[in-house]
Order: sequence, then structure tokens, then C-alpha cells
Amino acid sequence: MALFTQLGKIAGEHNVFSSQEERFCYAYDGSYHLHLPDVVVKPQSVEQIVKIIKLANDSGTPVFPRGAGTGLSGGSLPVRGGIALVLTDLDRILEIDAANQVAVVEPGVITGQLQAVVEEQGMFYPPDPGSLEVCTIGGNIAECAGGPRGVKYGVTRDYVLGLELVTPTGDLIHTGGKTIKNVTGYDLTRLMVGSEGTLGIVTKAILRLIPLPREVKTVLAVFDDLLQASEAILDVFHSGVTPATMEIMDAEAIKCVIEQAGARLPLDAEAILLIEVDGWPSAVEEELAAVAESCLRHRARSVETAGTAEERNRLWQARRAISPSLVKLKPTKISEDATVPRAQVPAMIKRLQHIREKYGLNLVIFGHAGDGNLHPNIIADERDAGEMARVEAAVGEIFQAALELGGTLSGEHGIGLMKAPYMQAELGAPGLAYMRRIKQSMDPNNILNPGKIFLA
Amino acid sequence: MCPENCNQLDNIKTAQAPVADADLVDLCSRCGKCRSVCPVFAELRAEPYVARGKVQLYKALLNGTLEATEKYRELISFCLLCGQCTENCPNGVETEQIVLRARSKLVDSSGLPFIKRNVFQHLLKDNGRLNWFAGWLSISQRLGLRSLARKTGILPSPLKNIEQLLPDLAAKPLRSQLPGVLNPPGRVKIKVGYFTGCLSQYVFTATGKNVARILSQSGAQVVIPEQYCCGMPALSAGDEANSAALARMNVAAFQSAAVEVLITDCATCGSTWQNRYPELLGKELPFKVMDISQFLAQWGGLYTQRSSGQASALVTYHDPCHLARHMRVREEPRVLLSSIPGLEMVEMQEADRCCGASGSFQLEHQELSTRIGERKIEHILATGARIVATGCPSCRLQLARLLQVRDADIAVVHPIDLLK
Repeated sequence: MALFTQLGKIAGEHNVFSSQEERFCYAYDGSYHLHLPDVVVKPQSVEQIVKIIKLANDSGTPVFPRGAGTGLSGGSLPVRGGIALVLTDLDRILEIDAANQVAVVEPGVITGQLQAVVEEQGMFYPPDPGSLEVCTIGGNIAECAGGPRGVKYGVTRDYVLGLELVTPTGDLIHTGGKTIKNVTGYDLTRLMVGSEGTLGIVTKAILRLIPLPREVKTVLAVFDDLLQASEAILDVFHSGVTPATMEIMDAEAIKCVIEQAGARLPLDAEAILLIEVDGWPSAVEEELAAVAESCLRHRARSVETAGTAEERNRLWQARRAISPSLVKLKPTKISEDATVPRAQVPAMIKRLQHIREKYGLNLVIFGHAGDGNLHPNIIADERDAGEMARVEAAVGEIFQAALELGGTLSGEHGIGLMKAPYMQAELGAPGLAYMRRIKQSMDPNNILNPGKIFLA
Repeated sequence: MCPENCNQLDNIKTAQAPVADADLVDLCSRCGKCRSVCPVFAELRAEPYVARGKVQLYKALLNGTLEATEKYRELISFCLLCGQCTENCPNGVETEQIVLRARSKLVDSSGLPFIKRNVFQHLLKDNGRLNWFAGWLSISQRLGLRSLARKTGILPSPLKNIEQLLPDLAAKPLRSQLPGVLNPPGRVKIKVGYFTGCLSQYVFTATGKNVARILSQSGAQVVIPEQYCCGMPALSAGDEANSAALARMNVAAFQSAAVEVLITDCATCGSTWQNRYPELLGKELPFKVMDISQFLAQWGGLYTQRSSGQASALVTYHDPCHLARHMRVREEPRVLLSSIPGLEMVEMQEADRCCGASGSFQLEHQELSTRIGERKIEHILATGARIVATGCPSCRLQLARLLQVRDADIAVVHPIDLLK
């Protein structure tokens, strides 16, 4: 029986797409790559997922799990045809346990919607990837998504207490639970978070919530010198403040989002910092003063506080618009997220500036400077072979710089397709082989998301 | 229209297809933010139905990855052209423009379906035939043929669906009841043209008469020349040739009447004039185009006084896509409604979300159109208003139909109908 027919029997015919036109709409994500699946299926229950995975093992068909398709490392792309497994229809918030400050959700729940629901009850789910209005918790867990608030609140892995998942061979298991402490056996929950859909399909997640900060204040600091701005970042931490967010944008990034931000952003600045402090109102006031002082010490041209919620929202809309808006410069966007220890941010920025000049590329620097997670984005045109060759060389040098400074290839986007060739440089051959053995032992038929993290 | 946009339109004109097409689609970074706002996606929840999917589908048609198959045509038909994605897109990707171009390419490659071809080609450009047809329809409706057809179930099901959506036509078309020129009571302050649109002409004739009366009361000389369908039904089906022909005929009619401002009471007609005609014709219009509420806000000082508080009826306002996003008219109708004695304006949630009508979309996708409209109906009911006003006759038909299904005693009107 054809795969299509069998999947139709499992998930219902209208939840299976086989036409080339429909399949094409699952061949892309937020990166610039394109890989057509052989068939698309939208399961409606956990039981259906189990059946699909068993079918895939029996027929040797690769399965590529997918949420909203907003990833930036090609993690969900069906690089070997096979089945695109779309998990967005499992989107129920199953429980919000206020007493234990825990939420239990299905993988298709949209991050921003979960945040809105828990915030109404005075609780907080901090991870805030740029695509939070559309991306899913399942995708966030697969990639261990971060966001601006990572600097103070950590990333997705810091909020996942337990999981229910379908293993690569089609068993349904659970890991962790509702407790904060749990050392019963291996920490499979942590292993799953950031495993990029290669070790299992999350069908349920138990998420840790924290109290919603009473007050948030946003500061916009403008600098005439990018390096001064990066020095100011360190100064803020020295002063004893852990800001909720600490974002940097360079001149190019400012230009790209000036429309969204309105008149608030100066076009002639070399860098701006978007800093937030949150907590109890009295503490926020003191921290705000300390932040302003740090910025001024490093020759900030101006330091302003966003007065209203609307103003604050506008600044954040602009910040989140940077990544998508870069294609206004040129169509092909290569988003990197090489991350260094915070103290190396000034050095990393110097290296990036050097790479930009050396290869003559549009390299835009922005990102979560407070946790060392910069987003150097190269904007090119994939139809220009010469330029793409320079891009490849530059990307290699960016990774090299990050590793030399004690950093890592990826802070929050994942390895996916694009960074797989550089894995050994960071992990070494034995380290990479150890990871590979984990994958091989859990997924003997190499069914789940093959071709990701590891080179084929 | 701002000079910047005009340049953009000029570029599209002169460059003709490939380069400009590529520029349109390359602006999409595939971030997927449109998934949070697209009304069609909210119902169907699959990537082919969201703006990002449409943009990538068009890109694939351009570079030859995909062909103009029946499936392709079907997927491209699932767009309301509501513009909500563009408004929320970090790059302002013009999905509506892209979908229209895709549809036009499909027509180029395999033509229009039989019924659409004949309506656009022969009926819309010939007022004699159109009046005859409307007259015949109106008489048959009043003779009870409609209820007979419904009771006997004589019509085959596709025609039955269309018949159910067909509004009751007026006994006499609007323009046959109005003079060609209507003078104000006093001095002529301005000379305006009134573009009646097909729905004020054949269905909402009372609204049309109100518009003409109020325009003349506000000091305008109102010219109502022989005119034709605005062409949007043809354009949204991909028939650029016939919509351009209608554009030429309409512009000529009002240009020879030397009007200073063209007034519309239909959001779709107004936005077609304002945004599509310059592109279709490759030149700027010789006069301004304004929605009636916009015109009154500027010229009709008599309608801005609020009388002292009486016990008032609640009215809520639905923003038509073509008015709010395409013509950027949001405040004026609200100001107008708030200024009417005895009325109290109350906002509904998501007032500018598409009602799902979208012209012939409701014919092609009736069930989906209803599902999208239901959300709007919930928001209307939640306000407790007894009146819902909207500046688009197509929205008006949709809202009235869905409210009737709910047995809700709520009047659906054009804001102008509430002015005394």
C-alpha cells in the first residue's frame, strides 16, 4: 500500500497532503533552504504519531517533525524527502497548575499564546524567541529556543521539567515530572531539549512558570561607538544589575527597522542598546539609575526610558523586526548565532567588523549582547556565486572567532543543516562520536530527522 | 497617493513582470509572522493557506518549480485579499498584489471559467444588458420565484449556493431614480462625482439616495454620469484586461464631467479607484478619490456637532478591509457615528478583521467564508449594539446574512443611512 494511503488511514485523508503544490509549502522554514517532502501529514493525536513512527520504521521512511516552520538553522527541513510531520494541530494547553506554578501543554501551543494565558494569572513563561507570535513550544524545545530574556531568565531548557515523547522506534515514554528536583536516572529531559527532533517527538511538555515581574522598564541608550556600547554592557553587570534583556543593534540593523520604530531610533548612531530591568518597583527604579550611569560612563550620547507600554512595545516590535527585515537589503539571509562568554563581546564585535571588511559583505550585527549571543547576519544574493563563496569563508571565520574566544557555534538557533560541518571543530572527534552513538542507539533505523546536527 | 508609491507603480509598469515580480516575492523572509493574523489560516491551519505559502507558491511559479495546475489555482483562490498580513509584516510584503498577479498569470495560461468570462466580457461593460438582467432578476424575486425555487429545490446545488447568497434586488436601479446632476440648496462649494458602484445601483438604492442627498446638502454639486462596474470582480479573478477596460470607461465618464473629487460609498470601489486604477492605466487619476465619510469629515461641518445626551441607541462599526487598510479610512466613520444625536458608538473587538465576504470569495468558498464571518458576528453580539454600521456593501450583505441566521435583531447599515 502506498505511503500516502497508509498515512490517510492513520490520520484521516484530509490531514495528508500529497500534491506537489501543498508539499512545496512545507519545503521551507525561516532559513533560505528548500527541501521537498514526499508527503505531509498533520496528526491529530499522540496515538496517530506512534502509528506513523512505527510505519516509518517498517518502511524505512525518514520523518521530519515540524512546528510553525520558523526555524533559522533548517532544523525542520525534509532533506531526504520522506514525511513532514506537522505537529501544530496538537495545540491544547492541558493544565495550568497555579499552586505548583507549572503548565502542561501540547507541542503545537504557540509560545506567545501560552505567555498571554499564564500572564493573566500573574505567572510568567520567560523564553521569548523573536518569532514568539507564531512559533510553537514543540519547536522551542527541539531547538532550545532562547531570546532576549535569556540573560536573566535563561532559555527553554531552564523551564522544561518533564516531557512525554514518542521515541524514534515508536514507544511512548515520559521523562521528569512536576517537581523541581528529580535525579531518578539520566536527565532525559535535558537531553531532549535542543536535540532538534533527532531523538524523539515531544507530545506533551511540563513547563516551569515563575511569578510575573511587577514592573518592567525599558531603556534606550544611543552610542556613537559600537565598542563603547559593548563596554557599557559589561559595566552594567559590574554595577550589580542583571538586566532582564540587553540587546545591541549596529547602524545597519537600525536602518532596517527604522520604519517600525518610528522617530525613536537615531539614524546616525553607531549602536544602540535596548536594556530592560524588571522586578519589584522600588528595585527597578534603583537598577534603572545604575544602568543609565553605566551607559553614560561609556559615552552614551543619550539614555532614555520608554514612558508607556505602547512605546515599549514599539521598540520591541522594531527589535524583533530586524531579522526578517534584513532581506530588504538582499534576498539571501544567513543568520548566525555564534555565542561567546559575555566578557568577550567587545572582542567578538571587533572580529566581526574585521570579517565584514575582509570579505566586503553586508554583515549586520545585532543580538542578545548581555548573554554573549550575537546574531551576525550576512545578507547576500544566492544567485551570485562569487559572493556566496565569500559568505562561506566568512561564516567559517565567524565560527573560528567564536570558538577561539571560548564560545560556541550556536546559542539558540540549533545546528540543523547549516552548522553541521563545523561540529567537530567545537566538540573534537571523540566528543562528536559520543553524540553520534547516542543518536545511533536510540534511532537504529535513522528515521528521525536524519541529516541534521551530524554530517551524513 | 504619495509620490513614493507612484514611483513604485511606475517601476512595476515599465519593468513588466520578471524583475519587479522577483522584488515583490524576495521581500518575504519566510519568518511566518503572517500565521498570527491571516483569517483564512486561522480556520484552515495549513501552510498553503497563509500569506507566506502564497508568496512562496508564486515564487515557485515564476522560477518554474511549479506549474499552473488545477491544484495551484485552487490554493491561490484561498485569499481574501484583506491585507492584514501586509499590515503586520515586518517587510510589508504585498501578498494581495502577489496573489492578484498569480491569478492573472493563471488566466493568461488557461483562461477564465465560462461564467466569469461572459460576465466580465459582456455583462459588466454593457449597462443596457446589466439593467435588463437586474430587472428580470428583481421581478422574478418579487414574483416569488425565489421562494418557489427554494421550496421545490429545483436548482442544482452549485446554483443553489449562489442563489442563496444573491441579495434582493431593488425594483428600480438607483441611477434611473436620480438626476444626472444634483445641485446644492445654496452656493456650489465643490463639484463632486458620485460613483454609485453596482451594489448601491442595484441593491442598496436607499443608501445611494442618502449619499446623493447628503452630498448636495453639504454644498456639493453632485454629478452622476453613466458609469460601469469598478472592475474589481474581474481583477480579483485575474482578468486584468477587462478590469482595465472598465477603468478606462469609468475614468473617461468622470473626467468629461470635470469633477474635483470622486465620491464612493463602497470601500471596494473606492480602493479600486484609488489603488488599482493608476496601475491599470499607467497614470495618475485627474481627480481625488474619497470615501463619503472622509469627504464629510473635511467638507460637511454640519455633521460634527454632538447634541446633548439623550437616551441613546448603541451602534458598533465594522472596518471594511478596503476602507481601513487600503484607503486608510478608520477614524472618519467613527467620528461621523459619534456625532449623530441619539447614537452611542461602541467598539467591537477586532473591528478591522475581515468579515470573510471578499466579493466572489464567498461564492467559491461559502462554508469557509461563513466560518470567518462567525467570529465577526460573535464580536458584534458581544457589544450589545442594535445597529452595526459598515462602509462596504459586500460586508453589509455578509453581516446581514449571518445575523439573520442567528435570528439576531440587529440592523446592518451604511453609516450614511444613520444621518438625518
